[in-house]
Amino acid sequence: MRAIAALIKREFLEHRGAFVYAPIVLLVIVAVAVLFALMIDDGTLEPPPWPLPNGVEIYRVGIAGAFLAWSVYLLIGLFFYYADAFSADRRNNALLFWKSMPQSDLKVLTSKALSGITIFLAAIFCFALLTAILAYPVLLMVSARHPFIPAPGPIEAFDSLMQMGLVGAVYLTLLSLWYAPGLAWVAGLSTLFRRWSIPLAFLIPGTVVLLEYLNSLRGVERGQPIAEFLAMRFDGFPVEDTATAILLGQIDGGPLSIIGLMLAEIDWLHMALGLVFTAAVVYLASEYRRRRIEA
Amino acid sequence: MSDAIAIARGLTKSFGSKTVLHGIDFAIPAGRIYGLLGQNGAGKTTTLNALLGLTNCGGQVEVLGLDPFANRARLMNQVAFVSDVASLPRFLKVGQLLDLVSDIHPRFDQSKAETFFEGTELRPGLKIKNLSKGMLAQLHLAVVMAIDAKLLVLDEPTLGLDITYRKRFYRRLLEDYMGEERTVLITTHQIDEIEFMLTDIMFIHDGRIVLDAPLEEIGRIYTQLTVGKENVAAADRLKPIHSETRFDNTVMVFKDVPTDKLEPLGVVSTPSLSDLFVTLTQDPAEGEA
Repeated sequence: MRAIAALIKREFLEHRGAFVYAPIVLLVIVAVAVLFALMIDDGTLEPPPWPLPNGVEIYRVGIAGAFLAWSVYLLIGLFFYYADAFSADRRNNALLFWKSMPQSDLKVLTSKALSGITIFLAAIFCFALLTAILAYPVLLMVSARHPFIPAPGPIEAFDSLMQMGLVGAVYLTLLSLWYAPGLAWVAGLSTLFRRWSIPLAFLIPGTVVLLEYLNSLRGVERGQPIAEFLAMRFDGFPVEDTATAILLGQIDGGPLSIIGLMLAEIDWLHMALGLVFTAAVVYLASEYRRRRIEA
Repeated sequence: MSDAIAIARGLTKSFGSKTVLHGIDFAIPAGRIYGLLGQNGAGKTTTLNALLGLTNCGGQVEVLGLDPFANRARLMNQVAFVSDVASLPRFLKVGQLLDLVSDIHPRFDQSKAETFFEGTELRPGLKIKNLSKGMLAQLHLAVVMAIDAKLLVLDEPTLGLDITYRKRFYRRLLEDYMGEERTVLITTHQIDEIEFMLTDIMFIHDGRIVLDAPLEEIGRIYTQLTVGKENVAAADRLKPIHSETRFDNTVMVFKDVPTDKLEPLGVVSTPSLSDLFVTLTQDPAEGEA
């Protein structure tokens, strides 16, 4: 366990640019943009014709938006991470150093696979939470300038932050697990083709779907099962509409009920199959790595 | 050999149609400093890779009682190796590397590694990617010497280093590492620089072992004779295995020829390792030329 934790820490040190430094830069850019917008605000904003939700609801939707935006960043970051991580040790002959350590190739690659749903997920969760925290003073300032936009009190805001933080943590975890086979796909390709894994990750399924489509034009009644399967996997677990309705108070239940909604909507069979596929890719990649020594 | 730490029997390896190892056999006893020497492409690194479990070979190979390829991770608890000093992970700082190795290698002593920094410019806060090649070699050596291993394998560890660093590297290895009962296996092209520290020598040529002997036996087996023109014909009749002209003399190397037969013909000496290496690894056509 100590070795796995150390190997995950090593992944963090090697790839912290994508999961720490780049998010900091992104957050600073957004913060500067928001501050600039507040500074040039001339206070002439007109109230909308429809009734606005209360302050708590606005803040909760804002937190949800922050988690949603960071979840996109997480998936993109993980895609590029896995497109590199499984072959990164081959740079500068580093594979020879790692193979001189008493850790199996399976353990090393497992630590890389786990990094995505542990340390990197935690890092992005922290940035999402930080964004949500920073959103509160922004909301207060906007509310002060435009009194028709309500803001929650500090205690209500803290309570919303806690509940939505929990929802966000579950959401990011489930999202990472759901898309794990896609990430494993690019990781497996990178084991063989290094950086070429990025175009190949799209080119191979794209070609298969195209051939399937061309075959379907011949009038054979088989449909397009591969395209349908991939579309289903990409759709994830669409709960956005219901979750938004809950947050706006249009459907009964507090933020925590969104967790139950997500757990109920997930296709657990496909989730399990996806994780089995992921484990198989990690194992096969480790066997490939075990058999090769050249950089 | 009962106390052998590494044994190979009929070791073969091919890459496509090219056979790199032709069924070699050897046994490396414990507590020795073994030099594995050979020309480029002779099969040295492939042999080491087989011993370290980095490649799968035909035949039988056993290191510390284990099949290396099947048990590489387990074997590395007892075996340390340096294949390329530039292979240290560049994204880490020196201190981070020591912390990491401390967490993933149960037989690594971090404080011992830090003591090896004394007298060097190595500091925990330095980034590995900014270290010079000499400092990288010092760091890598500090890491492997702080591992309580039974076998240390060094594959061209001083490649690209200047003479000062090379000498410091080997001196440190002898003084700080070999005090305890350990086995070291070294490959290098700089034969003369490591000759003083070796106990055994193995020459590999074209995937075959052409010499495997303790250093003290070399003088008993091989004899070098420097002979003047007048005695060349007589010396030739004793069938030297190698002969070359140096200035006005001819230098011949004999195998298993008693010195009392050679002494009347010229100056008898023990061939240096580099001379013996050339003798035993030279293709017949080259020798004739």
